[in-house]
Amino acid sequence: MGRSNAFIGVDMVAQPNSSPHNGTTLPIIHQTLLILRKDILLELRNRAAIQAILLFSITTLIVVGFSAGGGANLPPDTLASLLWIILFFSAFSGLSHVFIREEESNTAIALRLTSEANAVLWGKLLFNTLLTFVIIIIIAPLYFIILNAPIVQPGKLALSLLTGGIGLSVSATIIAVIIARSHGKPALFGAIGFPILLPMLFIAVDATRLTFQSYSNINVLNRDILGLASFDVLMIVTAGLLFPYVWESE
Amino acid sequence: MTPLKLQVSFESVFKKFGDREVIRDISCDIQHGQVLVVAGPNGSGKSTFLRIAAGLLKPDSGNVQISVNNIRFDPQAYRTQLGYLSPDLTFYNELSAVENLLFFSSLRGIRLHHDDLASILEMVGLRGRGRDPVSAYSSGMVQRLKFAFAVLHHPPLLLLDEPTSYLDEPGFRMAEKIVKSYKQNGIIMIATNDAREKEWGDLTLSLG
Repeated sequence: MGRSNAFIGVDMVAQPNSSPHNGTTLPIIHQTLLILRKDILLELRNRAAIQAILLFSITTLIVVGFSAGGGANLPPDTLASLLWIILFFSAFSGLSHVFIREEESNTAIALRLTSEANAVLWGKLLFNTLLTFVIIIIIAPLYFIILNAPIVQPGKLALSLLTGGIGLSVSATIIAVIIARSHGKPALFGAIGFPILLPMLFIAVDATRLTFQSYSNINVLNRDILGLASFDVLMIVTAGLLFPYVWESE
Repeated sequence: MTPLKLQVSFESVFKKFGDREVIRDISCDIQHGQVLVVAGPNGSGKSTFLRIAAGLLKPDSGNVQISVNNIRFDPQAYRTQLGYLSPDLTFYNELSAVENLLFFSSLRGIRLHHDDLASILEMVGLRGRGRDPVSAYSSGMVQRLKFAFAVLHHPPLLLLDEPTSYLDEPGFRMAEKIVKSYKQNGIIMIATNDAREKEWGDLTLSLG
Protein backbone atom coordinates (compact mmCIF):
# COMPACT_ATOMS: atom_id res chain seq x y z
CA MET A 1 0.00 0.00 0.00
CA GLY A 2 1.37 3.41 -0.98
CA ARG A 3 2.10 6.16 1.51
CA SER A 4 1.31 9.14 -0.65
CA ASN A 5 -2.28 9.51 0.42
CA ALA A 6 -3.41 12.86 1.66
CA PHE A 7 -4.92 11.62 4.89
CA ILE A 8 -2.13 9.25 5.90
CA GLY A 9 -0.10 10.77 8.67
CA VAL A 10 -3.03 12.77 9.99
CA ASP A 11 -1.95 12.86 13.58
CA MET A 12 -5.06 14.22 15.12
CA VAL A 13 -6.83 11.11 16.30
CA ALA A 14 -7.55 10.31 19.89
CA GLN A 15 -5.94 6.92 20.46
CA PRO A 16 -4.28 4.36 18.23
CA ASN A 17 -6.69 1.58 17.34
CA SER A 18 -9.43 3.40 19.20
CA SER A 19 -12.88 1.97 18.87
CA PRO A 20 -15.99 4.11 19.04
CA HIS A 21 -16.99 2.07 22.07
CA ASN A 22 -13.95 2.67 24.23
CA GLY A 23 -15.05 6.20 24.97
CA THR A 24 -12.82 8.20 22.61
CA THR A 25 -14.29 10.79 20.27
CA LEU A 26 -12.50 13.24 18.05
CA PRO A 27 -12.70 16.86 19.26
CA ILE A 28 -14.61 19.24 17.00
CA ILE A 29 -11.48 21.28 16.29
CA HIS A 30 -9.76 18.20 14.82
CA GLN A 31 -12.80 17.29 12.75
CA THR A 32 -12.94 20.91 11.54
CA LEU A 33 -9.31 20.78 10.40
CA LEU A 34 -9.85 17.44 8.65
CA ILE A 35 -12.84 18.82 6.74
CA LEU A 36 -10.90 21.97 5.84
CA ARG A 37 -7.98 19.86 4.65
CA LYS A 38 -10.28 17.63 2.59
CA ASP A 39 -11.94 20.66 0.95
CA ILE A 40 -8.56 22.20 0.09
CA LEU A 41 -7.48 18.89 -1.44
CA LEU A 42 -10.70 18.59 -3.48
CA GLU A 43 -10.32 22.19 -4.65
CA LEU A 44 -6.71 21.60 -5.68
CA ARG A 45 -7.81 18.56 -7.68
CA ASN A 46 -10.93 19.88 -9.42
CA ARG A 47 -10.49 23.67 -9.12
CA ALA A 48 -14.28 24.13 -9.37
CA ALA A 49 -14.57 27.17 -7.13
CA ILE A 50 -11.32 28.95 -7.89
CA GLN A 51 -11.86 28.70 -11.67
CA ALA A 52 -15.37 30.13 -11.41
CA ILE A 53 -14.15 32.93 -9.18
CA LEU A 54 -11.09 33.86 -11.23
CA LEU A 55 -13.00 33.71 -14.52
CA PHE A 56 -15.60 36.14 -13.18
CA SER A 57 -13.27 38.45 -11.32
CA ILE A 58 -10.57 38.85 -13.97
CA THR A 59 -13.14 39.41 -16.72
CA THR A 60 -14.99 42.01 -14.66
CA LEU A 61 -11.77 43.69 -13.65
CA ILE A 62 -10.66 44.06 -17.26
CA VAL A 63 -14.08 45.39 -18.35
CA VAL A 64 -14.13 47.89 -15.50
CA GLY A 65 -10.54 48.91 -16.21
CA PHE A 66 -11.25 49.54 -19.90
CA SER A 67 -14.52 51.38 -19.37
CA ALA A 68 -13.04 53.57 -16.63
CA GLY A 69 -10.08 54.47 -18.87
CA GLY A 70 -7.50 53.81 -16.16
CA GLY A 71 -9.68 55.26 -13.45
CA ALA A 72 -7.69 58.47 -13.04
CA ASN A 73 -10.80 60.60 -12.82
CA LEU A 74 -13.01 58.27 -10.84
CA PRO A 75 -14.15 59.66 -7.48
CA PRO A 76 -13.32 57.61 -4.34
CA ASP A 77 -16.92 56.46 -3.80
CA THR A 78 -17.11 55.03 -7.32
CA LEU A 79 -13.71 53.35 -6.91
CA ALA A 80 -14.80 51.79 -3.62
CA SER A 81 -18.20 50.69 -4.99
CA LEU A 82 -16.68 49.05 -8.06
CA LEU A 83 -14.14 47.17 -5.91
CA TRP A 84 -16.82 45.71 -3.63
CA ILE A 85 -19.13 44.86 -6.55
CA ILE A 86 -16.31 42.84 -8.09
CA LEU A 87 -15.43 41.18 -4.77
CA PHE A 88 -19.07 40.40 -3.94
CA PHE A 89 -19.95 38.77 -7.24
CA SER A 90 -16.58 37.02 -7.53
CA ALA A 91 -16.97 35.52 -4.08
CA PHE A 92 -20.56 34.51 -4.63
CA SER A 93 -19.74 32.87 -7.96
CA GLY A 94 -17.54 30.35 -6.18
CA LEU A 95 -18.31 30.14 -2.49
CA SER A 96 -21.59 28.27 -2.94
CA HIS A 97 -19.75 25.25 -4.38
CA VAL A 98 -18.50 24.07 -1.03
CA PHE A 99 -21.92 22.97 0.26
CA ILE A 100 -23.87 22.50 -2.93
CA ARG A 101 -21.18 20.06 -4.09
CA GLU A 102 -21.70 17.92 -0.96
CA GLU A 103 -25.47 17.83 -1.42
CA GLU A 104 -25.53 17.32 -5.18
CA SER A 105 -23.03 14.48 -5.04
CA ASN A 106 -24.69 12.98 -1.92
CA THR A 107 -21.41 12.98 0.01
CA ALA A 108 -23.23 14.91 2.75
CA ILE A 109 -24.67 11.57 3.98
CA ALA A 110 -21.23 10.13 4.74
CA LEU A 111 -20.28 13.44 6.36
CA ARG A 112 -23.39 13.36 8.55
CA LEU A 113 -22.56 9.78 9.58
CA THR A 114 -19.03 10.58 10.64
CA SER A 115 -18.83 14.13 11.95
CA GLU A 116 -20.44 16.67 14.24
CA ALA A 117 -22.60 19.31 12.58
CA ASN A 118 -20.55 22.18 13.98
CA ALA A 119 -17.30 20.68 12.69
CA VAL A 120 -18.80 20.69 9.20
CA LEU A 121 -19.84 24.33 9.59
CA TRP A 122 -16.47 25.56 10.87
CA GLY A 123 -14.53 23.50 8.32
CA LYS A 124 -16.57 24.89 5.44
CA LEU A 125 -16.46 28.40 6.88
CA LEU A 126 -12.68 28.31 7.20
CA PHE A 127 -12.39 27.03 3.63
CA ASN A 128 -14.64 29.79 2.28
CA THR A 129 -12.75 32.42 4.27
CA LEU A 130 -9.48 31.15 2.88
CA LEU A 131 -10.90 31.26 -0.63
CA THR A 132 -12.25 34.79 -0.08
CA PHE A 133 -8.82 36.02 0.99
CA VAL A 134 -7.19 34.36 -2.01
CA ILE A 135 -9.64 36.36 -4.16
CA ILE A 136 -8.94 39.58 -2.28
CA ILE A 137 -5.18 39.07 -2.43
CA ILE A 138 -5.36 38.55 -6.21
CA ILE A 139 -8.07 41.04 -7.14
CA ALA A 140 -7.48 44.03 -4.85
CA PRO A 141 -3.87 44.80 -5.86
CA LEU A 142 -4.73 44.36 -9.56
CA TYR A 143 -7.70 46.65 -9.12
CA PHE A 144 -5.62 49.35 -7.41
CA ILE A 145 -3.01 49.19 -10.17
CA ILE A 146 -5.43 49.09 -13.12
CA LEU A 147 -7.66 51.87 -11.77
CA ASN A 148 -4.81 53.84 -10.27
CA ALA A 149 -6.57 54.04 -6.90
CA PRO A 150 -5.05 56.56 -4.45
CA ILE A 151 -4.52 54.55 -1.27
CA VAL A 152 -4.03 57.03 1.55
CA GLN A 153 -4.55 54.74 4.53
CA PRO A 154 -3.24 51.28 3.61
CA GLY A 155 -3.59 49.89 7.14
CA LYS A 156 -7.25 50.86 7.42
CA LEU A 157 -7.86 49.66 3.86
CA ALA A 158 -6.44 46.25 4.81
CA LEU A 159 -8.69 46.20 7.90
CA SER A 160 -11.79 47.06 5.87
CA LEU A 161 -10.95 44.32 3.35
CA LEU A 162 -10.29 41.84 6.18
CA THR A 163 -13.54 42.51 8.06
CA GLY A 164 -15.56 42.83 4.84
CA GLY A 165 -14.01 39.60 3.49
CA ILE A 166 -14.95 37.67 6.63
CA GLY A 167 -18.50 39.02 6.37
CA LEU A 168 -18.70 37.88 2.75
CA SER A 169 -17.44 34.37 3.48
CA VAL A 170 -19.58 33.75 6.60
CA SER A 171 -22.74 35.00 4.87
CA ALA A 172 -21.94 32.99 1.75
CA THR A 173 -21.40 29.84 3.80
CA ILE A 174 -24.67 29.97 5.68
CA ILE A 175 -26.67 30.95 2.59
CA ALA A 176 -25.04 28.11 0.65
CA VAL A 177 -26.06 25.55 3.25
CA ILE A 178 -29.65 26.79 3.31
CA ILE A 179 -29.84 26.54 -0.48
CA ALA A 180 -28.08 23.17 -0.57
CA ARG A 181 -30.26 21.58 2.12
CA SER A 182 -33.44 22.90 0.51
CA HIS A 183 -32.28 21.50 -2.85
CA GLY A 184 -32.48 25.00 -4.33
CA LYS A 185 -30.70 26.14 -7.44
CA PRO A 186 -27.24 27.71 -7.14
CA ALA A 187 -28.66 30.70 -9.04
CA LEU A 188 -30.65 31.53 -5.91
CA PHE A 189 -27.40 32.14 -4.09
CA GLY A 190 -26.80 35.68 -5.31
CA ALA A 191 -30.49 36.56 -5.08
CA ILE A 192 -30.72 35.55 -1.41
CA GLY A 193 -27.24 36.75 -0.51
CA PHE A 194 -27.53 40.26 -1.87
CA PRO A 195 -30.22 41.59 0.50
CA ILE A 196 -28.52 39.93 3.50
CA LEU A 197 -25.20 41.49 2.59
CA LEU A 198 -26.50 44.88 1.54
CA PRO A 199 -25.95 46.59 4.93
CA MET A 200 -22.45 45.14 5.16
CA LEU A 201 -21.66 46.22 1.61
CA PHE A 202 -22.77 49.80 2.34
CA ILE A 203 -20.43 49.97 5.33
CA ALA A 204 -17.57 48.26 3.46
CA VAL A 205 -17.90 50.67 0.53
CA ASP A 206 -17.93 53.64 2.88
CA ALA A 207 -14.87 52.39 4.81
CA THR A 208 -12.94 51.72 1.60
CA ARG A 209 -13.94 55.12 0.19
CA LEU A 210 -12.57 56.87 3.28
CA THR A 211 -9.22 55.10 2.91
CA PHE A 212 -8.88 56.74 -0.53
CA GLN A 213 -9.31 60.26 0.91
CA SER A 214 -6.61 62.17 2.74
CA TYR A 215 -9.17 64.44 4.44
CA SER A 216 -11.43 61.63 5.67
CA ASN A 217 -12.87 61.62 9.16
CA ILE A 218 -10.92 58.99 11.08
CA ASN A 219 -13.75 58.53 13.58
CA VAL A 220 -16.21 57.66 10.81
CA LEU A 221 -13.67 55.24 9.33
CA ASN A 222 -13.11 53.56 12.71
CA ARG A 223 -16.86 53.35 13.23
CA ASP A 224 -17.26 51.68 9.82
CA ILE A 225 -14.58 49.10 10.58
CA LEU A 226 -16.17 48.41 13.95
CA GLY A 227 -19.51 48.05 12.18
CA LEU A 228 -18.02 45.50 9.79
CA ALA A 229 -16.46 43.55 12.66
CA SER A 230 -19.83 43.57 14.48
CA PHE A 231 -21.55 42.25 11.36
CA ASP A 232 -18.96 39.43 11.22
CA VAL A 233 -19.57 38.46 14.85
CA LEU A 234 -23.33 38.57 14.33
CA MET A 235 -23.14 36.35 11.25
CA ILE A 236 -20.75 33.88 12.92
CA VAL A 237 -23.03 33.55 15.96
CA THR A 238 -26.10 33.23 13.71
CA ALA A 239 -24.36 30.57 11.63
CA GLY A 240 -23.38 28.61 14.75
CA LEU A 241 -26.96 28.69 16.08
CA LEU A 242 -28.71 28.06 12.77
CA PHE A 243 -26.47 25.48 11.18
CA PRO A 244 -27.22 22.36 13.26
CA TYR A 245 -30.95 22.77 12.52
CA VAL A 246 -30.43 23.32 8.80
CA TRP A 247 -27.92 20.46 8.57
CA GLU A 248 -30.30 18.04 10.29
CA SER A 249 -33.39 19.18 8.37
CA GLU A 250 -34.96 16.63 6.03
CA MET B 1 -13.76 -4.92 29.15
CA THR B 2 -17.48 -5.78 29.48
CA PRO B 3 -18.78 -7.57 26.42
CA LEU B 4 -20.96 -5.26 24.35
CA LYS B 5 -24.69 -5.94 24.53
CA LEU B 6 -26.81 -4.14 22.00
CA GLN B 7 -30.56 -3.78 21.62
CA VAL B 8 -32.60 -1.67 19.22
CA SER B 9 -36.25 -0.86 19.98
CA PHE B 10 -38.85 0.77 17.76
CA GLU B 11 -41.96 1.95 19.62
CA SER B 12 -45.00 3.01 17.57
CA VAL B 13 -42.94 4.73 14.89
CA PHE B 14 -44.76 6.80 12.29
CA LYS B 15 -43.27 8.69 9.37
CA LYS B 16 -44.93 10.47 6.50
CA PHE B 17 -43.75 12.53 3.56
CA GLY B 18 -46.34 15.11 2.66
CA ASP B 19 -49.70 13.38 2.97
CA ARG B 20 -48.28 9.92 2.37
CA GLU B 21 -47.73 7.76 5.43
CA VAL B 22 -44.67 5.65 4.69
CA ILE B 23 -44.07 4.09 8.10
CA ARG B 24 -47.19 3.35 10.14
CA ASP B 25 -47.08 2.24 13.76
CA ILE B 26 -43.99 0.04 13.66
CA SER B 27 -42.94 -1.52 16.95
CA CYS B 28 -40.23 -4.14 17.28
CA ASP B 29 -37.22 -5.15 19.39
CA ILE B 30 -34.04 -6.47 17.88
CA GLN B 31 -31.62 -8.23 20.21
CA HIS B 32 -27.86 -8.59 20.08
CA GLY B 33 -26.83 -11.23 17.54
CA GLN B 34 -29.96 -10.92 15.41
CA VAL B 35 -30.32 -9.99 11.76
CA LEU B 36 -33.53 -8.14 10.87
CA VAL B 37 -34.63 -8.25 7.25
CA VAL B 38 -36.91 -5.37 6.24
CA ALA B 39 -38.87 -6.41 3.17
CA GLY B 40 -41.65 -4.92 1.10
CA PRO B 41 -42.46 -3.59 -2.35
CA ASN B 42 -40.84 -0.49 -3.81
CA GLY B 43 -41.88 2.62 -1.95
CA SER B 44 -43.03 0.65 1.10
CA GLY B 45 -40.59 2.50 3.37
CA LYS B 46 -37.67 0.05 3.72
CA SER B 47 -35.02 2.71 3.14
CA THR B 48 -36.93 5.20 5.31
CA PHE B 49 -36.98 2.63 8.14
CA LEU B 50 -33.20 2.22 7.92
CA ARG B 51 -32.65 5.98 7.70
CA ILE B 52 -34.68 6.42 10.88
CA ALA B 53 -32.61 3.71 12.58
CA ALA B 54 -29.46 5.51 11.42
CA GLY B 55 -30.61 8.85 12.83
CA LEU B 56 -30.64 10.40 9.38
CA LEU B 57 -34.40 10.93 9.57
CA LYS B 58 -36.56 11.65 12.58
CA PRO B 59 -39.86 9.83 13.02
CA ASP B 60 -42.94 12.04 13.13
CA SER B 61 -43.99 10.20 16.26
CA GLY B 62 -42.83 7.23 18.27
CA ASN B 63 -39.42 6.35 19.63
CA VAL B 64 -36.32 4.59 18.47
CA GLN B 65 -33.87 3.60 21.20
CA ILE B 66 -30.46 2.06 20.84
CA SER B 67 -29.27 0.46 24.07
CA VAL B 68 -25.60 -0.34 24.54
CA ASN B 69 -25.08 -2.28 27.77
CA ASN B 70 -28.36 -0.78 29.01
CA ILE B 71 -27.23 2.78 28.26
CA ARG B 72 -29.79 4.34 25.94
CA PHE B 73 -29.02 6.53 22.94
CA ASP B 74 -31.28 8.07 20.37
CA PRO B 75 -30.20 7.20 16.84
CA GLN B 76 -28.96 10.71 16.07
CA ALA B 77 -26.57 10.62 19.02
CA TYR B 78 -25.42 7.14 18.05
CA ARG B 79 -25.10 7.95 14.34
CA THR B 80 -21.33 8.32 14.14
CA GLN B 81 -20.88 4.89 15.74
CA LEU B 82 -22.97 2.74 13.41
CA GLY B 83 -22.20 1.24 10.02
CA TYR B 84 -24.43 2.32 7.14
CA LEU B 85 -24.63 1.33 3.51
CA SER B 86 -27.28 2.57 1.09
CA PRO B 87 -27.75 3.33 -2.60
CA ASP B 88 -27.63 7.09 -1.95
CA LEU B 89 -24.34 6.96 -0.04
CA THR B 90 -21.49 8.29 -2.19
CA PHE B 91 -17.82 9.18 -1.84
CA TYR B 92 -15.54 11.95 -3.07
CA ASN B 93 -14.79 11.10 -6.69
CA GLU B 94 -11.60 13.16 -6.72
CA LEU B 95 -10.13 11.13 -3.87
CA SER B 96 -8.94 7.56 -3.99
CA ALA B 97 -10.70 4.80 -2.06
CA VAL B 98 -7.91 4.85 0.52
CA GLU B 99 -8.14 8.64 0.91
CA ASN B 100 -11.90 8.41 1.37
CA LEU B 101 -11.57 5.67 3.99
CA LEU B 102 -8.80 7.52 5.80
CA PHE B 103 -10.77 10.75 5.81
CA PHE B 104 -13.93 9.21 7.22
CA SER B 105 -12.11 7.03 9.75
CA SER B 106 -10.10 10.06 10.93
CA LEU B 107 -13.37 11.95 11.45
CA ARG B 108 -14.52 9.08 13.64
CA GLY B 109 -11.30 9.35 15.63
CA ILE B 110 -9.85 6.10 14.37
CA ARG B 111 -6.29 5.85 13.19
CA LEU B 112 -6.07 3.35 10.37
CA HIS B 113 -2.69 1.78 9.74
CA HIS B 114 -1.59 0.48 6.40
CA ASP B 115 -2.18 -3.08 7.51
CA ASP B 116 -5.74 -2.22 8.56
CA LEU B 117 -6.39 -0.61 5.20
CA ALA B 118 -4.83 -3.47 3.30
CA SER B 119 -6.92 -6.04 5.15
CA ILE B 120 -10.17 -4.11 4.73
CA LEU B 121 -9.55 -3.63 1.01
CA GLU B 122 -8.68 -7.32 0.72
CA MET B 123 -11.89 -8.22 2.54
CA VAL B 124 -14.10 -6.23 0.13
CA GLY B 125 -12.16 -7.33 -2.95
CA LEU B 126 -10.53 -4.00 -3.77
CA ARG B 127 -6.94 -5.07 -3.15
CA GLY B 128 -4.61 -3.31 -5.57
CA ARG B 129 -7.25 -0.71 -6.49
CA GLY B 130 -7.19 1.35 -3.31
CA ARG B 131 -5.16 4.18 -4.81
CA ASP B 132 -7.42 4.61 -7.84
CA PRO B 133 -9.74 7.62 -7.74
CA VAL B 134 -13.33 6.65 -6.95
CA SER B 135 -14.36 8.29 -10.24
CA ALA B 136 -12.59 5.40 -12.02
CA TYR B 137 -14.59 2.76 -10.13
CA SER B 138 -17.41 0.69 -11.58
CA SER B 139 -20.76 0.53 -9.75
CA GLY B 140 -19.80 -2.84 -8.27
CA MET B 141 -16.49 -1.50 -7.00
CA VAL B 142 -18.25 1.48 -5.41
CA GLN B 143 -20.61 -0.98 -3.71
CA ARG B 144 -17.60 -2.86 -2.34
CA LEU B 145 -16.16 0.45 -1.11
CA LYS B 146 -19.47 1.14 0.65
CA PHE B 147 -19.00 -2.13 2.54
CA ALA B 148 -15.51 -1.02 3.55
CA PHE B 149 -16.92 2.32 4.75
CA ALA B 150 -19.70 0.58 6.69
CA VAL B 151 -17.52 -1.91 8.57
CA LEU B 152 -14.32 0.12 8.83
CA HIS B 153 -14.84 0.92 12.51
CA HIS B 154 -16.24 -2.51 13.51
CA PRO B 155 -19.69 -1.14 14.32
CA PRO B 156 -21.99 -3.26 16.48
CA LEU B 157 -24.99 -1.89 14.56
CA LEU B 158 -24.84 -2.42 10.83
CA LEU B 159 -27.57 -1.03 8.54
CA LEU B 160 -27.51 -2.34 4.99
CA ASP B 161 -29.90 -1.02 2.35
CA GLU B 162 -29.89 -3.20 -0.77
CA PRO B 163 -26.42 -4.47 0.10
CA THR B 164 -25.75 -6.63 -2.94
CA SER B 165 -26.86 -4.19 -5.66
CA TYR B 166 -24.37 -4.14 -8.54
CA LEU B 167 -22.34 -6.97 -7.00
CA ASP B 168 -21.26 -10.01 -8.99
CA GLU B 169 -21.29 -13.52 -7.52
CA PRO B 170 -17.95 -13.14 -5.67
CA GLY B 171 -19.25 -9.79 -4.42
CA PHE B 172 -22.41 -11.47 -3.14
CA ARG B 173 -20.31 -14.04 -1.26
CA MET B 174 -18.20 -11.21 0.19
CA ALA B 175 -21.39 -9.52 1.44
CA GLU B 176 -22.66 -12.80 2.88
CA LYS B 177 -19.39 -13.39 4.67
CA ILE B 178 -19.46 -9.90 6.20
CA VAL B 179 -23.05 -10.32 7.38
CA LYS B 180 -22.31 -13.71 8.95
CA SER B 181 -19.17 -12.52 10.71
CA TYR B 182 -20.67 -9.21 11.93
CA LYS B 183 -23.81 -10.89 13.20
CA GLN B 184 -21.88 -11.96 16.32
CA ASN B 185 -20.76 -8.34 16.90
CA GLY B 186 -24.24 -6.90 17.44
CA ILE B 187 -27.26 -6.23 15.25
CA ILE B 188 -27.67 -6.08 11.49
CA MET B 189 -30.67 -4.64 9.65
CA ILE B 190 -31.02 -5.34 5.95
CA ALA B 191 -33.53 -3.68 3.63
CA THR B 192 -34.01 -5.96 0.68
CA ASN B 193 -36.34 -7.83 -1.63
CA ASP B 194 -33.69 -10.25 -2.80
CA ALA B 195 -34.65 -13.83 -1.90
CA ARG B 196 -31.06 -14.86 -1.14
CA GLU B 197 -30.50 -11.84 1.15
CA LYS B 198 -33.73 -12.58 2.98
CA GLU B 199 -32.25 -15.93 4.01
CA TRP B 200 -29.65 -14.10 6.12
CA GLY B 201 -32.34 -12.83 8.49
CA ASP B 202 -33.46 -14.15 11.85
CA LEU B 203 -36.45 -11.80 11.88
CA THR B 204 -38.44 -10.31 9.05
CA LEU B 205 -40.35 -7.06 9.07
CA SER B 206 -42.73 -6.78 6.13
CA LEU B 207 -43.72 -3.26 5.14
CA GLY B 208 -46.35 -2.04 2.73
